[in-house]
Amino acid sequence: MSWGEWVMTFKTSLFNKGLILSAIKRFWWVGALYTLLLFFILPLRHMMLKNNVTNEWSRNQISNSLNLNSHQNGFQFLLIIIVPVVLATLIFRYIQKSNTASMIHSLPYTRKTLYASHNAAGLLLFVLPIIFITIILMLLQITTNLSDYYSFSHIVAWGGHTLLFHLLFFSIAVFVGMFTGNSIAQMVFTYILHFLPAGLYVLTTHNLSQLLHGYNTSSFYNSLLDHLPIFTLLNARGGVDYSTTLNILGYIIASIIFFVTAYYVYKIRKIEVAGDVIAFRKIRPVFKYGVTICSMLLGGAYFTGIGGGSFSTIVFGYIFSSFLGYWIAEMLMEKSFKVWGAYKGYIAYTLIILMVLIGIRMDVTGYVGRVPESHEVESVYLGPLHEWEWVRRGEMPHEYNRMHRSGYFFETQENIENMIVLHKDLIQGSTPMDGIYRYQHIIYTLKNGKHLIRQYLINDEAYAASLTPIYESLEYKQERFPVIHQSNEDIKWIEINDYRSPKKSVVLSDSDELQEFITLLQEDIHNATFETLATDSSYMVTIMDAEEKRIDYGIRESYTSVFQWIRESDYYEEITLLPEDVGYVILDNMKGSHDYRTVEIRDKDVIKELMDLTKPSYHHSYQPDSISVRFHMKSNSRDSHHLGYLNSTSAVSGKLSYYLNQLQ
Amino acid sequence: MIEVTNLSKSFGKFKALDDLNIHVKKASVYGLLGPNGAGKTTLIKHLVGIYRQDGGVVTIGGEAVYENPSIKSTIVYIPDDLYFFSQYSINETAKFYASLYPTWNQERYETLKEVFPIDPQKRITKLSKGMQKQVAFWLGICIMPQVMILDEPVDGLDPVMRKKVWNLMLQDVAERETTILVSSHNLRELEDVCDHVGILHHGKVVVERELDNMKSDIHKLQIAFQDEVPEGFLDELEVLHRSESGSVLLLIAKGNKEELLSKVEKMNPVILDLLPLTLEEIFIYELGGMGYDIQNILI
Repeated sequence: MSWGEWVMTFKTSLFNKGLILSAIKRFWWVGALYTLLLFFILPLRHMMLKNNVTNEWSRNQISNSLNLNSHQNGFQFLLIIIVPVVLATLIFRYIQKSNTASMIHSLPYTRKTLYASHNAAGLLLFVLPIIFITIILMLLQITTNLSDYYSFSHIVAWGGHTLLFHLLFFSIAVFVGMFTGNSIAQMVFTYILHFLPAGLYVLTTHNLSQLLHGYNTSSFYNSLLDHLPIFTLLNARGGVDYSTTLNILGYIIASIIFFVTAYYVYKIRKIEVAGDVIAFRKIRPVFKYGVTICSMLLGGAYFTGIGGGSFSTIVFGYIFSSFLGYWIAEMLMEKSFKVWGAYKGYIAYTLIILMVLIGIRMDVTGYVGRVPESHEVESVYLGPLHEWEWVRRGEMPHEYNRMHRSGYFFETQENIENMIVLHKDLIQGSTPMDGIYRYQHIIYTLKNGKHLIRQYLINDEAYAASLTPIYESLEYKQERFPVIHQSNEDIKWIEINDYRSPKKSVVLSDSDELQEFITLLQEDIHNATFETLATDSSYMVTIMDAEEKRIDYGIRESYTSVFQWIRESDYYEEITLLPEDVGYVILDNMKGSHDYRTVEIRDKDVIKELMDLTKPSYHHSYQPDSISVRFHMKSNSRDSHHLGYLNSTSAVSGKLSYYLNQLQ
Repeated sequence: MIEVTNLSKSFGKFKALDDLNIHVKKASVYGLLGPNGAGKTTLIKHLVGIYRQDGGVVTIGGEAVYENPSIKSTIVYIPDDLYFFSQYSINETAKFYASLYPTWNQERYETLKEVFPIDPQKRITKLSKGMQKQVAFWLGICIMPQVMILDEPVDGLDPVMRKKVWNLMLQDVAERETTILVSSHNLRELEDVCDHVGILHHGKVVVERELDNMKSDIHKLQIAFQDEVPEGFLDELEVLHRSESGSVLLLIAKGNKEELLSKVEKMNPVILDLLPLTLEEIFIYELGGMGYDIQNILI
């Protein structure tokens, strides 16, 4: 057989013109409708906007419309996720309806021909509209001034990307259709499949974090989930590039895999399953327990969300929602409400889940209590996960500004041990429910190359005892305050300002002055205690070094030498907020609408008292009945103000308490 | 022509066909009888290659049907539950079939417009159920099939049309040696057209018979003797059923007609009549002894 003949037989055995035409004849209207919609949102719109060239908005509209990244193309995004799925469902409707399935499968064609021909018809119904629109756009580009906004390559890129996503969504919908005997289920399952990996991931991590103290819920950067098509499209709308070679190649391969797998599934699929929710008996348990597990996780997340994270809430949430999920799945599959005969499966499931929960509770894997021995640890990190990842992947710029970082690496034996102590404290401690706390990751890099990652909510005040040796160590201070190993030759200038005040800042560039200031600052930092470092600052110092790198430092009240220097310098009044600068103060009880009251104060002494009372202090845990204090500045054309908070427990003078009483 | 050996099929836990065997000769009309739920449609869907069997062999013309386009293109299947593409007129459907079946006979299609008084421009799905059935026959006959498989075919056809359609098909059986397998739950309907009958019950073939043989093999006799029935008279005969009313004896007996008559005549009956038997009676009496309440199965 010659090559040509071979190709001919291949073509005729794979595709049948009659079948393709009949499918197109039945569903041409989908293609037509799609063409029309694309025509309205692209060429026609361009034609209407193009004469309005003076308007930047319309210019942007035109040039962004071919970019799936753009926010304004939400409608195109909708078409991409709807049109292929609807087409796949319609084209393969013939296997989901009993009499159609009988009629089509009694025709003298193999399943291969039926499958390939119907797919071909479906593909044509979206490929032709896209090509048609591409050609129209090209014609317009040649003949009109639209060439000012986009080039041929933009049009081709638009066509290519649109086709690619259609192909992928179509192939997934076809694939899903082979596993069900119901068209509605085919569409629903398709979309569920798109969201399932991410949904499961989120639900699983959320539930584990409720069950496992210290479980890391932050996701890793650039994870596989971001490459799922629907998230790629959604992320692209946030500006992430969707058209990387890896994505494109991956999607093409994925489409092929879906088409080929779907064919083999179709081949073994029985025709009599038309109408069933699940087409293969063997995957019915997968569906049933899949629904049960998903609803269990969803219920767990819901009940811990509304009822707090206690173990009994979780167990109740799990049992209640898995019960619902199990029976709903069973009813769907049996198409009947009388499914109580399946109770054995549910009892088995519940027993297994209870055992797993108890196992987790008893920490049989030792996850919660696992703390490495200090001699196993090479380094340990405290801070947010993403920063650690950047550093590990070498993506953190070397000169990355310290002030934008909050994570610390410790390598000294002493600090590794300090961290282990902190970690053990955190394991013992419970999740704080009041005060100021934040998520911190503890990440050990072990000598065997592995990492141990844990995440805790840390309230600095509550863990002061174990944080103190870390904060007061030189290693920590060197990383947090690069200035302590800089000499004044490394520094170009220093800018000081009081961030409360709208006054101008002062820049020190005189070498002697610099020298003096730096030495004092270094001294203060060396002496700084944990309490100092955990307190907010009053002044802000920006240091510009010789490499044009700026770092901001907060100057705390307890930096006595530096404070002293500023107070004695000529700059003090120039930069500092003084009671005279304040025009008036508004107190505000921060209550809901009907109890809301404010008081205005113009009394100088009281203003001074309030300034002292609202100074940053170490004990800044949030009080529910705090009072907000708004300092409105004098002699300023803009209404500039500084906001402070007054704790209800503070000792106040008689005058101030008179004002405070008015707030009650 | 059609050979089904040890065919089994289950739907979930329900066993629809159980080790079933049928044989249909070429150029014959085979009636598949059975009550609702006996497995007739399931068997038929195996014959036309829609279902894949769990076990056993289904061949037509010596070849397996499933996934075999060359065999399937010689078969026409007219289901009980018809389906036509909703946008298609009769002419368009004919064109579609012409592109699918190499044996399509356009000339015949045109000729048969005389027989089927329906506007060929009309959308099929807009026609009445009976007319849709006519269209199915019209198009099916034009495919010039080797085998026609008809599931409850005459439902919805008026008696005149029923006759016309059967005449057309039987003509093909005679001239082109077409084989027809037709299912029904009504025996009387098949009596005039079938030469073979198979009875299906609970997924099994209970009986498979050639009708001519059956009719010549079982007889209804009305006998009256002068006095009492002679001693030992019935022992000589294979009696399926007897009833007496007064001195008249009604016998359903099996055996060669001539032999039977000569045996009875030896006893010198006063009256000896050979009465006609309906197919229904034949089945009832023949199968009565097999433990099946055939009266409940059929009709």
